Amino acid sequence: MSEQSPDEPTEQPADRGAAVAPGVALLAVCAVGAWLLDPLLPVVDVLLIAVVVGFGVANVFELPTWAERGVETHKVFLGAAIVLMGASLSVDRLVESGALVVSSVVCVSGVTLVGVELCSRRLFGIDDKLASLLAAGSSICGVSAIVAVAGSIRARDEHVVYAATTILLFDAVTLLVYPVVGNLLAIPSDVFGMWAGVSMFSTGPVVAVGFAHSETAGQWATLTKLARNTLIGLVAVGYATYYARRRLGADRDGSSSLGFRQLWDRFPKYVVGFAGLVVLASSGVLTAGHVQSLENAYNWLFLLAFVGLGTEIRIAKLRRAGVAPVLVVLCTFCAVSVISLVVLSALFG
Amino acid sequence: MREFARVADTIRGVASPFARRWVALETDYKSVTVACVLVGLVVGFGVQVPW
Repeated sequence: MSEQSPDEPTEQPADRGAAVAPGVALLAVCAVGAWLLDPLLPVVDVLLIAVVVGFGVANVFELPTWAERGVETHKVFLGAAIVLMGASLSVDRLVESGALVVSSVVCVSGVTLVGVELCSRRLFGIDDKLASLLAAGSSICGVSAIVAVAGSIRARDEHVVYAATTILLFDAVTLLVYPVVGNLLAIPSDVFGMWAGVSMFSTGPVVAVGFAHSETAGQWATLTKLARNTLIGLVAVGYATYYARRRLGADRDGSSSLGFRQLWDRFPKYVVGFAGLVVLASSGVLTAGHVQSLENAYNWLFLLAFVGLGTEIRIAKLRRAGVAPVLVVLCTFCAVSVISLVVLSALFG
Repeated sequence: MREFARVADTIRGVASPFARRWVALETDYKSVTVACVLVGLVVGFGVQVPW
């Protein structure tokens, strides 16, 4: 999830509301459109229909300028939907699956991060900082991780654009490929959800692909991806420390300002909201009716978010990704994806 | 008409600080706030969300 830029010009709340409202209305119209199309296309999940509708609006009709500000709010809806998903899970289930999820996430993220770093620097001779951005984006949580790490290592703007475009390209491809592979191989829901959660890149596509497979796969995918997202703070601070030390010398205090505050700044806060709702749901406060309503609410929020996600996939932008970054991420992604699927299938299949 | 303008001014006066804070909020905090409002509506006020 991106942050507010400090450089943004100050704007009156009423002006901002007026600038955002048309885009949010467009998201809502497209979301209802996707929902109405769902019964006509029983083979395709409604969330993928929403992504395709958003993609069509942005690439076929060109996203109108008046809608751009509002459409950007889809990240707020995605985070809110993830928080509300906590109502469908219980502490027991989290404790039961916690060690498993955390160990899978740490192993796969670590292997991906090291794999992309080594592949970039040794095989393709890519610039160190671009390599680190690619490694963070593919091992943790896509563009959010790239932005967080870019800030902490003072990466150049064009490297951020290269890395982000590469990750977005893979988001678009995996969004289409994973559901097909899942159905062809008849992967069980829990394995599919965890596989998507540990190996795909950005949160939105992971959740979309999970729910496109099944409700259970969607919950596993989200749970696994959330666990992975929590590593963003550690990775950003780790990189900041590494580059600061390299710049200033190992015995200088280049990392002295990196502490809890920096960790928290980069931590995805909606994970805390998600955990809070899991605790609330487990305490027995919520009735079955409440849970049903909250599930419906997060389904609507996901629809809004995925229409917005579709609008972010721009063919013109994807063409700008350089060949070397794409090859690096492709090599590592294929290896990690296949290995994690085999291991998860062997453990839980 | 003047009464209406006065009421509108009052509402704007009350809402403005909240709106300003909302605009300055980070995306993640906005997400959590939206979710909390929805939980409040569903659990506190018994609002039912259809699908």
